[in-house]
Amino acid sequence: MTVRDAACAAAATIYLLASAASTIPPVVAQESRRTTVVEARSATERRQWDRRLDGMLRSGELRVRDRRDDTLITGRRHERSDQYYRGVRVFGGDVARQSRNGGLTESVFGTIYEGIDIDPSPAIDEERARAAIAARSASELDTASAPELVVLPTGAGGPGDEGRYALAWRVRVKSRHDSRQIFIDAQTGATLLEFSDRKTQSAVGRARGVLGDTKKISVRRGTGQFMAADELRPPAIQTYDMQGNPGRVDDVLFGRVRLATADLATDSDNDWTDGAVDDAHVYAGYTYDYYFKRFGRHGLNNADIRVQNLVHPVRRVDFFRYMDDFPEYFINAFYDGDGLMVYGEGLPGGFTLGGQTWDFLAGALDVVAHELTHGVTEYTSNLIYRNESGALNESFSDMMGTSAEFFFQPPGNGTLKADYLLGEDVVRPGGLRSMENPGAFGDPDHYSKRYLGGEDNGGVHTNSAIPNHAFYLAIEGGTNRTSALSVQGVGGANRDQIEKVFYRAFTQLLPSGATFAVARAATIQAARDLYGGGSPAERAVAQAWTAVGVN
Amino acid sequence: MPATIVLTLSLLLWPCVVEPAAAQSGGRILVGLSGGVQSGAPPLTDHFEFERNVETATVDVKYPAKSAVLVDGSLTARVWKEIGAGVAVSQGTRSGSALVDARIPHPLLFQQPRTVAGSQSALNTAETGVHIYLAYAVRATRRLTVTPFGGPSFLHLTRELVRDVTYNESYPYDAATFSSAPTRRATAGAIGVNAGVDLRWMFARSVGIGGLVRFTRATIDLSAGDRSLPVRAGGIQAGAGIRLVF
Repeated sequence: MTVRDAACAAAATIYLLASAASTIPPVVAQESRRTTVVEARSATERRQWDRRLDGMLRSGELRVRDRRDDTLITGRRHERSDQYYRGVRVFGGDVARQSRNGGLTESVFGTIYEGIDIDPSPAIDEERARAAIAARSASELDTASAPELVVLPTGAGGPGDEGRYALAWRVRVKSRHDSRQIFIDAQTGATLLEFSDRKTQSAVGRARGVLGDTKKISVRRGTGQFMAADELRPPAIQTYDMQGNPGRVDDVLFGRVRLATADLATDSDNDWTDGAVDDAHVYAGYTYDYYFKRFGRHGLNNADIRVQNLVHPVRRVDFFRYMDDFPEYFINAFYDGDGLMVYGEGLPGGFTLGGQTWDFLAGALDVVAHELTHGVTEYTSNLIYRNESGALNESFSDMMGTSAEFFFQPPGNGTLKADYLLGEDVVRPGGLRSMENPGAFGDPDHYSKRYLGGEDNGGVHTNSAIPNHAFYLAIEGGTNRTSALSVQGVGGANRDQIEKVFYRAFTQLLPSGATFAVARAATIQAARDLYGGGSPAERAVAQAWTAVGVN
Repeated sequence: MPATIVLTLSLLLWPCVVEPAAAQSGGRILVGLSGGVQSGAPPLTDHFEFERNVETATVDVKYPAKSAVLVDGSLTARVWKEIGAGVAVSQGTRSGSALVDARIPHPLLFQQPRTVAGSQSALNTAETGVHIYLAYAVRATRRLTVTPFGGPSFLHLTRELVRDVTYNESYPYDAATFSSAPTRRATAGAIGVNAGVDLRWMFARSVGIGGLVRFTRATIDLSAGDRSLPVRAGGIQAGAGIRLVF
């Protein structure tokens, strides 16, 4: 052998390999060396594919999955076939063939995986695959779908990265919020691939709130637009733009019309700029999150009831036109039952009420959480909305509204800060009520000062200040201004204890006609249940009620 | 990429094809076939980002060093006295892992990323080297010859790189767990250098055994999607096998 001979032999061999690698068979639209995209574009190609596919059907490399007549074009038939390798289905390998009556193929499309060379015998049996899934996930196996042994193409699919395969068990698992396909390596037990099989069109966007703050918003992707429908949380949270049509809002509230998808608030680029829409939608989600994370509660009815927010029931420019007939659509937010919320528009610039400006009511997290908590009450203690039980109803909403604020916002003074004021972010300055100092708003901080008249259903928005103040004192401690009695609170770092105590009492222990005295007993009982007799929480709750004159 | 190798080989060997007389005048031919190991390339780190949940997700990937199985074939011609010229082709293959450490933004809240960490195994790396060299044979004994050599190398690297991270999450999305790290196969080549020594012991006139130690190095820019990742290819190659003299 000479230098020339050796060199030329080496070069020729490499040349041959390179040439073979780049050869493209006729007819086949070759996406890669190992994945054949079947697409016959001419009669000749269809005939050639017919021959090849018929051969694969005879050899068992293809198996017909489905044959059915065309429902739109008479005389057409459709056949779907799956690719198999030594009796094992190739995941993603299939062909759809359309034929005329006479059997003449009209079109053929599909994907055929080439060059599979693996052992089709699994080292791990079906039961071990099931056990592997069960051990690693809290999800439940989809019992309607047994594990399936498949050949899984594992290459990333890029140039030069195809043509790798693995024998795998395909298992479907379901959880409350998802459905997933998991592929377990049938030789090693490793997880090869996993993906959600739930068909959703969720999207995360950027939203600017009433106060100009930026937050994430969970929405639904539509055709050419995004809709204010939360697809990420377990319940449906939908926000509707009523576009300043109070008559239509009334129709919805009175059940004369049903909300439609077309009523959903939309945004074209998922960069949401309507503060009222954004905050109503996002804060409703935050409220759900607060209840779930703090108490493990699944929404208003603990069964993920749908929440529907109605915003822009009127327009500010229509203030003079609608204020007399629809004042609640300007300066109120309310829960209408069955998960339906309405958020007022606020007052036009330059207008004040009681010396305060009113912004979009949806712009305050404590307001949103307050109103939604009325839904929680509706599905639990259902406190009768008059006199002391009504004041307890209002008070529980204030407690949870404030607690949600502390859960998501940093403590402090000013907008977007957690404090014991109600509605201070949108009713400026000062807000609507104070849990720390009810007297600052003319509300009673002691039972001896309670309102005994008939207005406001027996002062439900006034006397709520008494249990509100007890809640505050139980957390922060301090001295009641009327009784001068001091309370040793659990401290802000332990606020979750008092939140849980009041949540437990108000959702599980109280009857619908509860009085303040019953609420005292129930919260003390809840503190004992959760933290034991003599615990700091029980002591704080008992002292707080005593300080506000409820014994 | 095979076409690139072919082209390089063809250009390098062109003189021997067109000038057979000159090529034959050098005399004897040495063929070496060896198997061995190649030291692990330096640990490779990668960092990439992508948009997720209207924030930026970051992924740091570490590819630990791991030695490769080496196959080497060489062809050396004595061109003048004890000086020879030759070409060697080496291939090192290994299957390694990648340690993935990602920060995935929360879908509902800003600035609350979830840490997703895991390992992706069975990442294949194949490195092919074509080494051109001049060699000087030193006969230590009647049967033992030591041949230092050196010259340029063309190193071609195919390596699987992590291109994405998949993870499992469910409401309330405060945590996510690693699921897999999909990869892409990146290939590129570069010119480098080689130097080493071949030791052969001939137990028959034309057949012997030998050992080889070679250092080769090139820096290859692998294309990892929208970014270029410089990778130091090569390392110390050590092998042993048969030597044939014609």
